[in-house]
Amino acid sequence: MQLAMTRAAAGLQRYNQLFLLIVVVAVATVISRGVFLRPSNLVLVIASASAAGLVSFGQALVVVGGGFDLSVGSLVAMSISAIVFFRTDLGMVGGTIAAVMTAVLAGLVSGLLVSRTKIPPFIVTLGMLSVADSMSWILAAGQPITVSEYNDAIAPLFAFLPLGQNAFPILVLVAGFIGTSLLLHRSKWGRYIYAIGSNEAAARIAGVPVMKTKLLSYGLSAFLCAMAAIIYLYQNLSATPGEGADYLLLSFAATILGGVHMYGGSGSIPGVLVGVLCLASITSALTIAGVAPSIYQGVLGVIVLAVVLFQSRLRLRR
Amino acid sequence: MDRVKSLLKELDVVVILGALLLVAAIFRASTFYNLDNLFAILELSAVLGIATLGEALVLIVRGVDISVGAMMGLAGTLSAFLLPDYGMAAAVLLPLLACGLLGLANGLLIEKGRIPPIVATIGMMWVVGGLAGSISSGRLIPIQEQAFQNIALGSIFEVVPLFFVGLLVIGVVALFVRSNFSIGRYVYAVGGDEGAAYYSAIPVSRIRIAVYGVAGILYGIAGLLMASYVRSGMPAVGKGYEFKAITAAVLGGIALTGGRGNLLKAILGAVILIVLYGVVTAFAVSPYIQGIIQGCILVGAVYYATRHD
Repeated sequence: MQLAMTRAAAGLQRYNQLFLLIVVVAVATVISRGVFLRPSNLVLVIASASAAGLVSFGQALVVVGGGFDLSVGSLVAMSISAIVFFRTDLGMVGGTIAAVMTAVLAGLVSGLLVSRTKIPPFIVTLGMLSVADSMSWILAAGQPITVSEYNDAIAPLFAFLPLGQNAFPILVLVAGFIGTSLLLHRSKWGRYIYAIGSNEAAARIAGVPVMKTKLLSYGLSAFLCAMAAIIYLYQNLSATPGEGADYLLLSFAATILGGVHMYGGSGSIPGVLVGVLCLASITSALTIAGVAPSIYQGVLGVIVLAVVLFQSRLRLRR
Repeated sequence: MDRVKSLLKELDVVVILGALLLVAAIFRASTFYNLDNLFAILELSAVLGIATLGEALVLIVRGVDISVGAMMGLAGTLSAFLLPDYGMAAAVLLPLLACGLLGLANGLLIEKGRIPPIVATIGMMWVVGGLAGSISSGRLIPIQEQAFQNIALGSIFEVVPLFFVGLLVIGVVALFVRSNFSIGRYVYAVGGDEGAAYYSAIPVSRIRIAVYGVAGILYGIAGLLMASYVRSGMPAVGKGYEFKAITAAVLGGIALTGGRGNLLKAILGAVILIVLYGVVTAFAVSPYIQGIIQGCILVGAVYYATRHD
């Protein structure tokens, strides 16, 4: 009996994420009375997961490497404002490139501080959160932001696809997924990230370039935040400064639900993708069921805590 | 030269920073050194000081608490919600009870659930935010009761706000418990060397859980004061206070690695942070720049504290 229980637990552990997605989809279908499973809604759910997904992939790279990136939400907000700021002088294309570079620079600063000093990652990125949030107000001069150019220019390019408006966000999400998966699971840099996350001191002795790897993961996380900012503007056309801060919570929830261990060294990008889709499904189902938005985050919080508790129980039992 | 160095070391950066700020403010004496402004600075210092005390205790037992702002919002919202129908006593005690229980829940998730503190308290932050949001239905609840408003308006000799007196009382109680009861030493022992504490028969888990509970109550008190200050209950009133509390505690020399730090200096860190905001405002630089200064101070203070580790 004991053995059977242990086996069941181990099985659950292995297919944890898939099991979770099935449960979430089933529950979402039931509380939305079937509306959730309509193809048009599923496309919407995936498209709405795009920006959050990109941010979460970046967060996962950092967390697997034993760090934290609390600045992701504010980096999205800063990138949104930076696009508007640079647009006036450099035009749309140049402005976008400059904004992406600004975000990457911020990520590299975080990576540098994390790898060269003894300041814990959560303090470094908490400081960056504050700086980036301020920058989002300064760059936008405190004014509301409107950017319709992305939608105007990009949407027609994919008009031939049946997905319509949602084609671009879904394609970018897929590209981000493939890119980060290849990096983490098929390249030497991925091995380095796992090695540092499991045991940094050992990795350093074994000759892993710790500083370069951390610069890469924090820089890439910031880059993905800038991509998320573009998707955000493509989908919403407008924003207020500081908007996007919610992506911090979403990215944490997605990495946790995706089975990434918060102390680093384990987890996978496919798992995180499942986590992102779960979150988007839950939000969609809650909206269809008419739950007030002010309660969403409470529901998400309960779900995340329950899942983390469940995962830590399983880990203890092994 | 050496004597100057040792003197500086004794005075500590935080005091020097505070003194520099107060001197700098002379250039804007009319906006900074007027009674209304100083009164407001003392009041906000008290709010942040009490929240910082909670965060400092958590840091000392080698934890971290991100749910500060959400708890403050819940306390204020619940209080504003209860005031019209149930009176002052219920509107003060029930929110504190709620925050205390939610703090205990933090501790239980971390100790019994084996969840990393940062994850558990972020999750709790959402849960608490959702609770406050459902009480207020996403709106602001105005507080009309004179008695409740008077807490923020009250003062001793029209100079020292009641808030600040409250902070002093809480600070003195904390220091008294720290130096006269075994629990005070236990708290530091748990954060300093958990293994040694465990083998000295100190109930490590229970102390940590209790500390999160006490911290929850302190956030609740800060939230109630804030609600009295803004005369309304709103879930987002404490937004960013987890950040400010951690910054203040670190500025006051609380070690992030646990077991070290003076509670009184943590409170002083909070006061100096608020003075800093006041000085920045007095110099009328863009209000948006505050976050940049805040971020640099946090990272700089931790760098200063960890440079020799």
